[in-house]
Amino acid sequence: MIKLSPSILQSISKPARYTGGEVNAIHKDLSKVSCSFALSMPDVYEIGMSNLGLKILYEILNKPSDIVAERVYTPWPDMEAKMRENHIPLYTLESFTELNKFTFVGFSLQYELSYTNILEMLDLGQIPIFSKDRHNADPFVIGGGPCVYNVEPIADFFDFFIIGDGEEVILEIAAAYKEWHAQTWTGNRNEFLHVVARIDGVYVPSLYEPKYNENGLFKELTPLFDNIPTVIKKRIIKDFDAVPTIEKPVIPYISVIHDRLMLELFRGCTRGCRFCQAGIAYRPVRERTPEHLREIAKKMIDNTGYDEMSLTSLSSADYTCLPELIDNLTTDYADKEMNFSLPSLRVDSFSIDIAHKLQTARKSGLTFAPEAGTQRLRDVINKGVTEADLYKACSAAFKYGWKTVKLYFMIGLPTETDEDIIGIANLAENVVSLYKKLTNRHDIKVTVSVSCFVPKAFTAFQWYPQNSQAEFKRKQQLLKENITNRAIQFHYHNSATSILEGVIARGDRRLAKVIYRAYKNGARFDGWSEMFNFSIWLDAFKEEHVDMDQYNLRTRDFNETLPWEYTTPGVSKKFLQHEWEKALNQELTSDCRHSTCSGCGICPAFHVDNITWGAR
Amino acid sequence: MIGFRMEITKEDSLRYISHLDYASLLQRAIRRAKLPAAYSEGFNPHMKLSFASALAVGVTTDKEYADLELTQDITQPDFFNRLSATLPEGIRLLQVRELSKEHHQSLTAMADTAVYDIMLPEQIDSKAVQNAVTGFNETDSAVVIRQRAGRGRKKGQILKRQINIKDFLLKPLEYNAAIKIITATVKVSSEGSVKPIEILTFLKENYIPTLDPLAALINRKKLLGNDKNLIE
Repeated sequence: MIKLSPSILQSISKPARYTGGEVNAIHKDLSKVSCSFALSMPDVYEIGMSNLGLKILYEILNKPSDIVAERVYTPWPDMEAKMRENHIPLYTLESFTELNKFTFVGFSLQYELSYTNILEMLDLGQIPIFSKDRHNADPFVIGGGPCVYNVEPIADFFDFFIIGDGEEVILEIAAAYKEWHAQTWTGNRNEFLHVVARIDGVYVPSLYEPKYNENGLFKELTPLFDNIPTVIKKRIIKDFDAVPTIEKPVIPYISVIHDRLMLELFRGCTRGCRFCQAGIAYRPVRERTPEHLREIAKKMIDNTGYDEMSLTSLSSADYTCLPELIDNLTTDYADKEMNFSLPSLRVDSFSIDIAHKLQTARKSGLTFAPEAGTQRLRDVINKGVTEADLYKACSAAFKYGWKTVKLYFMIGLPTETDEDIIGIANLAENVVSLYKKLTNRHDIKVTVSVSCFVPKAFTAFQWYPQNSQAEFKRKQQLLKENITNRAIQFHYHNSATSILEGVIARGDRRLAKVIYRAYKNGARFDGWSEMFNFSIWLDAFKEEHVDMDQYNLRTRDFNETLPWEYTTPGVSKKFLQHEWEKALNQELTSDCRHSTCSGCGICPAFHVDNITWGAR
Repeated sequence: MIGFRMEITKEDSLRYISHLDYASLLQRAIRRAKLPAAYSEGFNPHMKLSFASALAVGVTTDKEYADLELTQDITQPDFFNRLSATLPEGIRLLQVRELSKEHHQSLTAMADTAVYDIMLPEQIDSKAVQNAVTGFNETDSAVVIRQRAGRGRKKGQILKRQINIKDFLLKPLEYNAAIKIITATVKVSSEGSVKPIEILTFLKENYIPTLDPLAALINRKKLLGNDKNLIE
């Protein structure tokens, strides 16, 4: 058990990140369980404690008495320095047990720029960074979460990955371990890797070998053994209403990013935005019933005392029973000082009516994501939002008294021209005029927030070259020059971060050495603008002789085998290619929840269907 | 007004949380206990819960005081039992007293004296501490520089202020060598106060160079008004 001295804790920022003991944290005797999990999101406590997936797994794993799950996050550099100086290994927040004493160390892979933190945590936890260097007594390092749809760049660091919904497979892995552990003669970790490789949805990268063409491009990934699958399909929870979820979440001691309860209304989104990876990865739509959600909400509120709950989903306003649910919740908690909020709003007046009813967004303003500046480009990305929709939504909002609007856009989308960039400025300008016309007042604030588009695996844009950094900068400048109204605030992202994300998002196994090198040279918390140092990364690519441009600036051929095709959400490649062709013709694809099947191939591959309760 | 005054603790397991986080911990416990707490009006209502003091990160206390306003009358034992059942580890409810219906003085206005126990690290040389405390008690003035980051218009600046510790000490420092504890009795007022860590910093800079002020464990033993604890 790790003990921290007061002089360390007093000399770092936010020491409560490292002291554990929070309300609802689960404490078990580690010597009395048959397997143990250290669950992590490789970021600082306040971010990690806001992660929905880990909260779910924490409760599911801790339900059986012979399994324990504890939490661990990335120490901020001030704490890292103290730990290294004082030879303190990384430990979990419940029992203060060193990371290398666990059976499994699981990382939630939320974004590519957190990868150096994983290496940092393994090293601080005294676990060999490369899976090939681990011994039988070392933990199995597992990855899961959205980034598993291209895990090749970090495949060398992990023993295995879980593809898709984790609720069921995590218990299958624990059961497999118990069984294997009871009968193994050698305790050889490779035996266990062969066992899990046969569980649906589990990918053991060391049992596969990547091959490359002479021109340096990826050729294929071949299984080294006959009895393991060539392609690993995601796991999917068919009966989402029946699967256990969060009832008693740990309440952080310090305020965190999403310091509120999260009620997951449904999983999946079939709107079909062509840039969106989550929209493919989590298909089909599976709703919980409003009655069940009402019960879960009550349990969570009673168990925590939180006064705020977010109705979470990829697009919560699409929940087909939303009005009923909100009526129930607002009735149950009338006069109880309880706030409910929607994390994202659709661009329509229905969403505004809901937001008004909940009365929570008043302070922070409303956020819409038109994503692109012209109708032409919005049709390319299948955003399904018209300018008229936006003005209708804004009019409704202004009538209710809102005067702060945030608009999200991307630059660098396929087929984009300067006209589309200037269109962003025009759209914002029109929102300002609309406000003035409707209210006769000038106190409107419109924030235009622009990110740099990163093409992602398993989307219609997976073959498309990302814009160069110079092009991103040019477009940011162009937009800046076209925003002249003082009521409009313009925010844009560091293009270097998006370039790096773009390289890793469509990279292959050869990037592992670059990530390792960047880590060795000091890269940490790359997703934090104040910590990000692009030159470390550029040097790492140079030192390892890996060409970045090959990964993000190259137009991929439809006939190429892509390095990520082996861990799949089940979407058909033909569908994605067809979507790409439709994008070029500005043809829309409709939401299969409300119209005909769009043929993505996921439902037949898993014998599932969209589940909605609204039309009962 | 209906309400209760509580005497509570902030123990070792909560040593490193801030006053604000301690307050929300207590608020959530009050909500779990389903006590009929009163809230302020407006778009961002907050629970009508007020504290006697704001304890620094790293400081525990045997005696903190908080007033909670309620919307309905409940009995004192009911309040005590329900809240005791939901308080997290590290906060204990010691006493509860119903607030008088008429005007009562606020906790911050009542508090005038705080007594701190400062436990020094095990390896410290007691003789050196004894000499330091004696020396300190004999000097007329003990000035430290308090620094803080500027806010608002002064953001980015470091604001410095001179503090004479002696202005805020109500009694000479006492040292108990057997348990290595320095006791400081400090004046609390609207003009501010001195922090125990500032006393340690002064001792380090002037008497004991080997002393690490961050390694000491600070506990506020008492918080008094007119020589009485705030709940009597």
